[in-house]
Amino acid sequence: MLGLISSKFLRNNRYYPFALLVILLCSTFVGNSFAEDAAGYQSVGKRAGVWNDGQAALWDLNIIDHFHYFGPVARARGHKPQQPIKFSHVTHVQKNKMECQFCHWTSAKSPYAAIPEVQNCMGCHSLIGGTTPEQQAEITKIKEYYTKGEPIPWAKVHVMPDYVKFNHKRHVKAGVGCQECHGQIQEMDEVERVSSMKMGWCIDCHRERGANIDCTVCHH
Amino acid sequence: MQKKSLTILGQNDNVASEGLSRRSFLKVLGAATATTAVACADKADQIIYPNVKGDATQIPGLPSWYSSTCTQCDAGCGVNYKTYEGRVVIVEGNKDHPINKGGLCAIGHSALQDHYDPDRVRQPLEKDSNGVFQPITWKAAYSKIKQAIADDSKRAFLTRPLSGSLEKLVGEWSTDVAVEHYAYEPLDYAQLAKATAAVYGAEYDGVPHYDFSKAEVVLNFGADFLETWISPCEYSRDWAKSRKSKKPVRVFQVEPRLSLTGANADHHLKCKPGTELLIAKAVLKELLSRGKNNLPASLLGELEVSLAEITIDVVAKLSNVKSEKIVSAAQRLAEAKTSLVIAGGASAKTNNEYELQVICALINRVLGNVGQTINLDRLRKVKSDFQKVKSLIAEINDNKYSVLFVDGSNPLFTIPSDYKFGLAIKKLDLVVSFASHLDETSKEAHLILPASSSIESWGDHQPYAGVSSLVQPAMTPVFDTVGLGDMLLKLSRSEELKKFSEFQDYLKAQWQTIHAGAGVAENFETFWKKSLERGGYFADPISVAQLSIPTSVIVTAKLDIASFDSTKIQQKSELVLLPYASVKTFDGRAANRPWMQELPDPITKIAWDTWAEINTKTAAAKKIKTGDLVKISNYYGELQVPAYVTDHVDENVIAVPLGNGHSDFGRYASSVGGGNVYNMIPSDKADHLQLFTTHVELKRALGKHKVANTQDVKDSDKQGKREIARTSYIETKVPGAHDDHHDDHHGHHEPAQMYEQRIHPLYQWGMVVDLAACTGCSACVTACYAENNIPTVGRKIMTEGREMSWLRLERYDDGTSEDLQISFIPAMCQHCQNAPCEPVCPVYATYHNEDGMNVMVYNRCVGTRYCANNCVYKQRRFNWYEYELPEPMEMQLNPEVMKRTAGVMEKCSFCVHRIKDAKDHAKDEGRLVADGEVQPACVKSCPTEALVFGDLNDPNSRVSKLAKHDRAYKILDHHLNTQPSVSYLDNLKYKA
Repeated sequence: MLGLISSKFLRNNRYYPFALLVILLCSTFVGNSFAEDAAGYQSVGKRAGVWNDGQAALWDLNIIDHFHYFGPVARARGHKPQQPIKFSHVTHVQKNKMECQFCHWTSAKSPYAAIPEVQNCMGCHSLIGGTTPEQQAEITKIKEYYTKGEPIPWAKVHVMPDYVKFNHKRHVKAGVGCQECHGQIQEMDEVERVSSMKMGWCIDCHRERGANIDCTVCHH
Repeated sequence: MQKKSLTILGQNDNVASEGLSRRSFLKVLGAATATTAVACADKADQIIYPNVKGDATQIPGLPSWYSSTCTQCDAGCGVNYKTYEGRVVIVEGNKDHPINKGGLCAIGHSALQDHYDPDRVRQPLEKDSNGVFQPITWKAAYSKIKQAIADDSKRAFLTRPLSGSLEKLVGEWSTDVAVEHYAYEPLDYAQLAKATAAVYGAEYDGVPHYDFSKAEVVLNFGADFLETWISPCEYSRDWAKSRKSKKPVRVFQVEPRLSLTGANADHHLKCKPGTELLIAKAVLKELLSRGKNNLPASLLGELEVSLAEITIDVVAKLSNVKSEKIVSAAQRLAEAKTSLVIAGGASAKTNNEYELQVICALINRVLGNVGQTINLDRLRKVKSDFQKVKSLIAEINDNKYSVLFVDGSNPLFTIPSDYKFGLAIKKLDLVVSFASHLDETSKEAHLILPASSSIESWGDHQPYAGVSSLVQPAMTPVFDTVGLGDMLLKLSRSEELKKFSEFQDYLKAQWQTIHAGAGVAENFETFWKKSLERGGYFADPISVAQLSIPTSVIVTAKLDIASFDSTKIQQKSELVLLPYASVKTFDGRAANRPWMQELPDPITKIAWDTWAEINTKTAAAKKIKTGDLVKISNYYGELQVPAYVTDHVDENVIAVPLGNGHSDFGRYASSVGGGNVYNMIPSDKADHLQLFTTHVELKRALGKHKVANTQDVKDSDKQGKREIARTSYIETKVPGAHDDHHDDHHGHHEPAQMYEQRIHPLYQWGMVVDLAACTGCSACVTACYAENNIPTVGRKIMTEGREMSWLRLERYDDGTSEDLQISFIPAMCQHCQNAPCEPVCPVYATYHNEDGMNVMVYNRCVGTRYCANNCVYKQRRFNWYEYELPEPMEMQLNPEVMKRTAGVMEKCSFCVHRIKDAKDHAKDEGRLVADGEVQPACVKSCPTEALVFGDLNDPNSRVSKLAKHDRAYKILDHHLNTQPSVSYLDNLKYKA
């Protein structure tokens, strides 16, 4: 049957639109059936009190998360870029009980929650060399960057679209927990994108909390 | 999808073909739609580079501010640099600085583009045997110079006038390595200083400090004190302070060409070229006859003889100024309690400038202005000495010199070619340039050691006693450059200088003396840090010294009209060339900055071009129309520039702005051709550079030139009955009152609304522009370009009317040259409450927000341009193209504002990011935004504080009080009920 369809399709290009439709439907179906995918997000942390895991608009739902299928991958949830250093939040936050703002010290001061300086890492890692060989290898990398005076080229996980301004400080000061947007980050060995970061998702929380939803709040 | 990207070049006429044509666009359209969904052009894969070493005071994303001093001219205004992540993004005036007190002129703002200029010299260069510059190392460059200064050959160092520690260092270095130092700038004030010394006493050899705020009447012979003359920000501020007061200063301006200052004057006396001296003499005689004769008897006797021939009627006839106007000026001066008489500017730079300055100084003395509006305790020393430079050129031509050091002042461009500096420089064995650009002068150099810009280096500036202003680096050098002071210290031989490893140490050593002289309790380090933070050390001025009274001043007894050179001019030509300094390019130093080239000249509204202002009658006789190319020639050179026909120049004057026509200097400067005006000027025996000195021939050249003029549409110069920029006349009525015709048009009409009137619960942002204080200097326009990342589009696109400026300065010319009615009005988005642009947007991209602003959401905009069609104020700009900035100019882009892409509409946002920032701070402190806390870029830049911004909801805010002023009106509101958030206050002028 496959041969039949393919031969017919190859011979007759008026079927191409149908083929496209079939592919689209299939992809939606496949997307919908990514049960483990959805479960994965839930395990990472459901946002309290928010309907349907914080999804507001239809196109914000997982089934037609168009970034997931059509890219760019970096905008899709579950985006987990490879980092130059295998930094683990599990080790730092869960095991060693470090405060988020110990490293991300600008997150309540500046619109940007900057990645900590290399010097900041060295503050501890000049003394702490790691227990396992893997850890030791990664920590050596930091030391190399530091001695060369080079910044570590971290891959950005949460990329904002253009013409959107997100003020990190305002959110932290308003009492929005890190996990509400970044998921259960303390459980992530590798940081991945949990939130869709689409406008519907933002607006939903703004409505929920009675925050301002004027366009200029973010778009200017 | 398919983006047209352009590089901006002034006269590049090929730009339109760089993009896709419509046909090929349609061809690829089909293919493109299929692929976009998959291959979305999205920069989502980004990398974050954290700092390697942290600094708790430098938080990423938050700006750091540095106080410094503007070095664009000698005025010495204080500036603040706003830096993000170690790069300077914005320059603003320092409000604590005694000179400018917060404002900054257009050229001051454009200093950033000089700093990030892609045409800057990026490393030391040496000319090889083929005449091509090759990069060398700093070490090699230093050693080459050290060799050159080892022998006892004769050497010279030619700079622009220097000040403070650098001047001292250059002096010390010159003696150290046996170099003679010469200072030169083309628009100097040497004659004014000389006359001041002659009339007020030899110890006052300098430019006095003028206080326009205290004067009731100002008689001004051509000095462009609101544009470029001496200290324009300071004078504009004082002038505006008086204009806003109950008794505004009355200005008489005598000049052959209408300058921006003249357009702001109450009485413009358009005179024949070179007759200012006669008028000054007539005024002096009139004043003496009115009993204002507080002069020594011997001097009075001298004057009586020398003014014998002067009568008002003769002067009126010779100068073509009505006698009653001269009498009225004299009468007003005699009646006023305080007044001020000044002369200057390009039109005074004739062969009788000195005498004109003397007469003006004498008038000031008889009127008792010294100590009132003229302060001799705050003299600005004039360091430029053209006489010495002339002798230097002669000696170089006689092969007496072998080495010349020259800084970035580009003397080869500004010294007229007839002085033969171009020949002289070729005779030298070694020319070392410290210029930052490959300009006309440094092209002739053998060795270029690029000096850092003032944003990257240490320094100080002492414009006059009591003001010691610091220059500090706000960022690391963009290129491989070194500060001039550091270079000189490296090249020094004496142990005295060698003990300073860098110029910062030398500077601090100099400041030890200032600290000692200041008599403050704190130790030096604290004093130094405080001074750095404030921008300098500002002491109270010393009390006025007793004036010595000279008993004799040479005043010739002739009916003096300045003579003009007419060497080898075939037909007898009465036409005189008037090269003048413009607010765009000044003396030529600002020519390679796209912001300045794109800025429409306030009087002619021409951008990206140089032009010749020709009187209507003269033009008609030669069948010349605006836009025709004309050839202006004399024995020394010729210019080929488009004509601008106007009534506002004298029939015998052809006025051409200085500063354009660079052959080298950079891509933007050399894209504006026409020829160098300086080269038209003949050399003479005088001790100063006379700019207004030559007769020229005028011919129509072949062809036309499409000039980028932002107000060239027919009759757009006239307001007609639209009443956009309004003027009320003082004395005809009480100030603030308006005649019957205006009454129903003034701003406080009750809105008749079909829909519910909008309410704004918390803030309602609004602006008030006081036209009585607006000079039209265009600083706000440039500040807006810098703040909002507005692209400069270049000449070609500007002629299509697609300039992107969010704030334009409109100039209306409703009167005649006899009854002058020129009005300037800064026009930005009016943020209407009933905005016509809003209901026509199909995608809700522009809407009225809760703070009373008309807001653009770029993400939503699909580029229908309906809003622009419907905007009654023509304030919306459409991005027809995407513009690329050459490296490293993109470093200037303000991270607070995003660059817009092609296909998106944009307009003034009231600097919404600054409002957001202020709200953010207020929220941190749990309060509302205070009055004056938010200042959009234009408001902050205004040297005269003509623009006021604030919350209209707060009844006590400055803006809401001014909006209820009886001079307040809103443009077109009475016709259209648009209810703008911007109110204007009528301009004030004296009718008679």
